[in-house]
Parts: sequence; structure tokens; C-alpha cells
Amino acid sequence: MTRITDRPARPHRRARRRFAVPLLAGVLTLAACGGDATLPAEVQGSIAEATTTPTTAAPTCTEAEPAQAAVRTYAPLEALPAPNQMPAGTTMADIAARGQLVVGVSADTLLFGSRNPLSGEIEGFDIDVLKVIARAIFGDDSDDRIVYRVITYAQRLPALEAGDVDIVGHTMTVNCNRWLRIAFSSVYYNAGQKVLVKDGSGFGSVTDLVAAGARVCAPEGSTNIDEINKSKYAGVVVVPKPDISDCLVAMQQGEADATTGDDTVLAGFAAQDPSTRIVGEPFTEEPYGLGISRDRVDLVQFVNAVLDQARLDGTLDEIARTWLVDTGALAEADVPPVPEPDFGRELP
Amino acid sequence: MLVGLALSLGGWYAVDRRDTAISDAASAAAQLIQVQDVRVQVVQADSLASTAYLVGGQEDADQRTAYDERIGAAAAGLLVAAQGATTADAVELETVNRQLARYVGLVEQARANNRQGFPVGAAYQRQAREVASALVESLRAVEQSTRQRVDDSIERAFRASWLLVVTALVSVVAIVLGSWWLAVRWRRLVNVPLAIAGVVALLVLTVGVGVNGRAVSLAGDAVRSELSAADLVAQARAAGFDARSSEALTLINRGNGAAYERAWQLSASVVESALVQACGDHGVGCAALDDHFVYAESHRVVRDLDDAGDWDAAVALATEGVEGFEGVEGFQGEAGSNPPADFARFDQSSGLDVAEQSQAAARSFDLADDALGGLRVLIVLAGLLVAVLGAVGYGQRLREYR
Repeated sequence: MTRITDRPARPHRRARRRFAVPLLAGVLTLAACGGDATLPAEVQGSIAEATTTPTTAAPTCTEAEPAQAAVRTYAPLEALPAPNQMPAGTTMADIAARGQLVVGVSADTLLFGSRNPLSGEIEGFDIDVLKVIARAIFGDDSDDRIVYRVITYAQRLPALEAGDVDIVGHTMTVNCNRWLRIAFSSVYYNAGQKVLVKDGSGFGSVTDLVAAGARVCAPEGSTNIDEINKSKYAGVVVVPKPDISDCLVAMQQGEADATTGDDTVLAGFAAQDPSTRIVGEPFTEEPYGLGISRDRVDLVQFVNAVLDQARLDGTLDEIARTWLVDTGALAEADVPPVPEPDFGRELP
Repeated sequence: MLVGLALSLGGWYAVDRRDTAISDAASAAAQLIQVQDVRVQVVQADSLASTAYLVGGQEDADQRTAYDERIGAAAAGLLVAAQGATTADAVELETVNRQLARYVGLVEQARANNRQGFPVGAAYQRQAREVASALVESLRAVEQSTRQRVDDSIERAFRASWLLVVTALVSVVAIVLGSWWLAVRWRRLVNVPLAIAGVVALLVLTVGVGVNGRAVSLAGDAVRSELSAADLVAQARAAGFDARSSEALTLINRGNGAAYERAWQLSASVVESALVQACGDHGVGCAALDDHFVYAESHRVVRDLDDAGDWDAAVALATEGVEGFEGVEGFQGEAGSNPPADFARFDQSSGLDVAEQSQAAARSFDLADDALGGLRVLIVLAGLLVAVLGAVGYGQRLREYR
């Protein structure tokens, strides 16, 4: 079930209570001093602090979970149930009964998940993949059936762990560290880390940037910044920013010479700023999967079955074409083929 | 005669000290109102920009005009504030001026990207808001130091009281001693001119202290009541517009407004604390407080809609109110479900309070100033009279001696 955050207590009630005592004290002080005429101190606000649980150190990959096995997921359901006929007792039946699929998405990653400022709708590759899942459950992918929660990069795993969302579709790379906290569907797109440079800057690859000691922007807490911080790129000056879209701003304002990120995200940047272009070959592999709670293995198996069907009937191909080729972001030949699934993961 | 001149000069000095202190307080008070007005204009502009961003390409022409007006008013207000600022504050205000230019640039870029459908506009909008926050912090620092100036000036005015009392008392004592000396020396009981001089000095003592006290209490009251009330309500207004911006930002983060909702609550708590204090202590801002409660209720409705997954309805309600809002049961235009209209009422009532109270404070300062101006002339004349009477009285005795 989706948990909707408890509504906080009404602020004004608290404000009244809190101020009853200082108010009285103020009046008494005033009465005592008589002639004292000073302005009251500046008003400070306060709200009840939510208790935050301390974050524990991220678990690391173990021997039992080698990096290359990260794309391995649970076998799909053998028979895909028809829409609105989810087997009783399953997570899918709960979602169907609720009538809404709650998904965690990006709203500022052009081409994958971004809010169209003209229509207000969130759209993109990830969104279309999530709609395929919604259609399989409800036979309908309208806004009535999908609740979009816009989340940041850093909120992707916590949102799933807290049960705030059913599925995360947010250009999320499948890796073994994340498998320790959540589960993934099969891979639906193979991205890779590249660099975006200013047109005419003369930089043709990440090696050029290293040689020139260029300023390279990357989002804090991402796999992209971990990569560029590695010793083999020691020449570059890394410019960290809270969000990858801040990197495009940094480039436009002359604060950075280049941005490194997934080629998918960079393609969206190039579409927003024609004076930039993506250069060089990908220097990492970033297989994208849908994130699902570890406790909902049945949902993972269901999603894998839906994705398998979408792979076979060409839906995934179609989505890639719509967002990457039709938008002019990539040449048809540069679109990577739909990845083959690996269903070798043992059921828990 | 010397005593008379001393009374004249000393009295002049005492009243002048106090008058200067009171006009310092008055100008600091005007400066406080001015700086707060700039802050309100900026947060108002930012709330318009945030809300406009939410509706994307369909930005309302009226809202755009309103934004331009607010920015223009803030820039003009900064110019005025810079003239009345201390050196330290002037430096801070210069920073504010630069930040304002940067803010306007970032909002423009957010708009330009937004119009083309580029999500990087959101990053510009975010940066613009960061700059606006820094700018508001600078203005708050100037407000704080100006508040201190008001308090210090009023304290100086109070301290200047003893000067006049001492001067007048010394004069009276000197005249009495002089009379006594004359009486002993010439074996006469009363020297009429000197006695009159004594009475005049006594009169100056009473009238002066009275008028002086009235002036200081007028200025003190202006600070304690009208200016305090204007200060509190202006703070509430700034926080109120900040809350309205946060409301728009909770919706830009569709379905995940928790972070900005906390910002909303923080601002709302400032609004309500300030207005509870203004209403309780001064009976001012009570209507604005009620209006804010109503707005808070309608904000709750917006949050509930978004949290429940009905983002479109939440946006329609937040930006257009019930007029642009169809299709959700239970919210058919009753009070507490129309954020733009409810917020506009708060804007209006609080704006009226600030204007009224700051005008009242300025009037009280003027009255105090006028009273002291009259007193100054009176004391100088009285001092001269005492000097003449002293000379006449002593001359009388001298003539008798010859």
C-alpha cells in the first residue's frame, strides 16, 4: 500500500500556544519597565522537527554479488494475467484494488522524464515504460491510473524503501550496491557515461578534457561523479552540483567547460542548448532498470513479464524511437539495441 | 546674568540633544519601513515568478505586469533606502542591489527556457530562488541594524532628559543663592526682579520638563506601539509571500512537495507568530491573522489534493482558485478553498495595516518634533529674560549702594 505522509498539525494552533507565554512575559516586562520603548525582536519561525533516522553507511557489494551479475533479475511470471484480473493476494491485486499505480519519476530529465511546461504533463522514455506497466494492470494508462511523484536522484531508493512509491522509473542504473536495498526489473535501456562540451571548444573526448585540465561538472552523489573522480581522470577539475540540470546552467554561465553524465541525459541537454554537443565513446555501462521494493518479488516478476512482452512486440523499440530518434537527439544508428534480459537471479 | 545665559545655552543644548535623538529615531523608523517594503516587494515578485513558472507557457499578462512592477518598486525603494543608510548598511544595500540584478537575470533565463519547453528552466528558477533568499537575508540584516538604531536613539532621548532638569535646577539654585547673598549683603528681604527671574527659571523647569516628557513619550509611544505594529505586520507580509512561493514550489515537485511544504510551514509560523503578537499587543493585524488562517486552510486543500495524486486539480486550485477548478467534489467555492482569493485578502488587510501604522508612527514623531521646536525657542527667550532680570535686580542694589 502507498503511504501518504501524515498531515502535519495545523501550524496556527501551535503558534497560539507557543506565544501565550512569551506574550504574557512581554506584557509583564513592559509593565515593569514602564518607560522602556524598544521594538520587539525580529520574529523567528519554527516548525516541529520531523524525527530523522540516521543514515547508515551504504552497504558495499559482496563476493556473493559480483558487479557483472547486477543485471540479473527474477524470472518473469509464466503467464501474464489479463488487465484487471490480477491474482488475489498479490501486490498487483493490491494496486488494482487501490486503482492507482504510484510511480517515482524525474521531472527535469528531458527525453526520459520531464515536465512539459506547455501542457504541464510529465513525459519521456521512462514515463512511457511506466505506462506500459499501468496498461498491463488496469488496461488504461491515463493520469487517473498513474500517480506521479517527482523525486530527486537521492530519493530514489528511500522512496521505495519507505513504500512511498510502487515503482521508480528514473534513469536508474542497475548495480549490485542498489540490489542490496531494492530490486530491479530487467534492463530496458543501455546507457553509458559520456561528456557534453561546448561546440567549438575543441574537446573531442574525456581524454582531451583530462589533458587540458578542464572544469567538468557532475551531479553530487551520482555514479557519474564517482567515475570522474577516479584517478585515471586526475587532470580534470570536478565541479559538483546538486542536480545534473544545474550542470547545464554551470556550462551556460561559464562556470564549467563540460558536463559528464549518462548519454541519455546529455542528449536532453544538447536538445536544450544547440551550442553544446556530446563527444567521444561511452566510458561506462549504465544499464537502466525499473526499481521495485525488495519485498515485492511478485511485482518484479510481473513487471519482467510485461517488459518481455514489450520487447517482443516492439513496444520498447517504438518508445526508444519516439524519444531518441524522432526528437532528433540521436541518429537511428546510434540507438543501442533493446537489451536482452538475464533472468538468472534466484528467487529469495 | 551669567546664570540666565547659562540657562539659555544649557537649555538649548539639552532640548537640541533630545530633538536630534528623536529625529534620529524618526528617520531610522522611516528607514526600517522603507527596507521592509523593499523586502516585501522582492518576496512578492518571487512568489509571482514561482507561480508563473508553475503554469508554464501560459503565463498571465497581468501577473507578468505585476512582477515587473514589484521589481521596479524594489529597485526604486533600494535607491531611497541607500540614501538613508549608515555606511555599513549602505554596503549591504549595494550587495542587495547586485543580487537583485542577478535575480532578475536568472528569472528571465528560467522564463526563456520554460517558454521553449526546456526543463533546464527549473534549474534557473531554483538558482533565482537561492539568490532571492540571500537577498532577503541581507535585507533582514539591514532591518535588524535599523531597529537597533531606533532603540538607541530613543534611549538617547530619554537620557537627554536630565540635562534640562539639571540646567534649570542649577539656575534656580543660583538665583536663590544670589538673592540670599544680596539680601544678606544689603539687608533687604526681596529683590523683585531676581525673584521674578527665579519664578521664570522655575517655570522653565516645569514647562520644559513637562513638554520634554510629552515629546519623549510621544516618540516612545510611536516606537512602542505604531512602529512595533507596522514592523510586526510587515514581517508577517514578507513571510506570507514567501509561503505563497513555497506553495507553488511544492507543486513544481509534483507529488513530492515535502521539502517545500516544510518551508511553507516555517513561513506560516512566522506570519502567525508576528500577527498574534501584533494583534495581542497592539490590536493591529487581527483581520490579517484571520485572513491568513483562511488561506492556510485552502493551502491545506491544495496539499491534500497533490498528496492524494490529484496534481492537476491541486495546480488549478492553487493558481486560479475555484474559478479555474472543476471536477473535484466537495470544493465548490466555499471559504477556505480558494488560495488566490484568500491570499489576496491577507495581502490587502496586512498591507493596509502596515500603511496605517507607519503613517501613524510618522505623525507621532512629527508631533514630538514640533513640541520640542517650540520648547527650544521658549527656553532661549526665558534664559535671556532671566539674564535681563538678573542684571536689573543687581543694578537696583548697586544704585542703592551708590
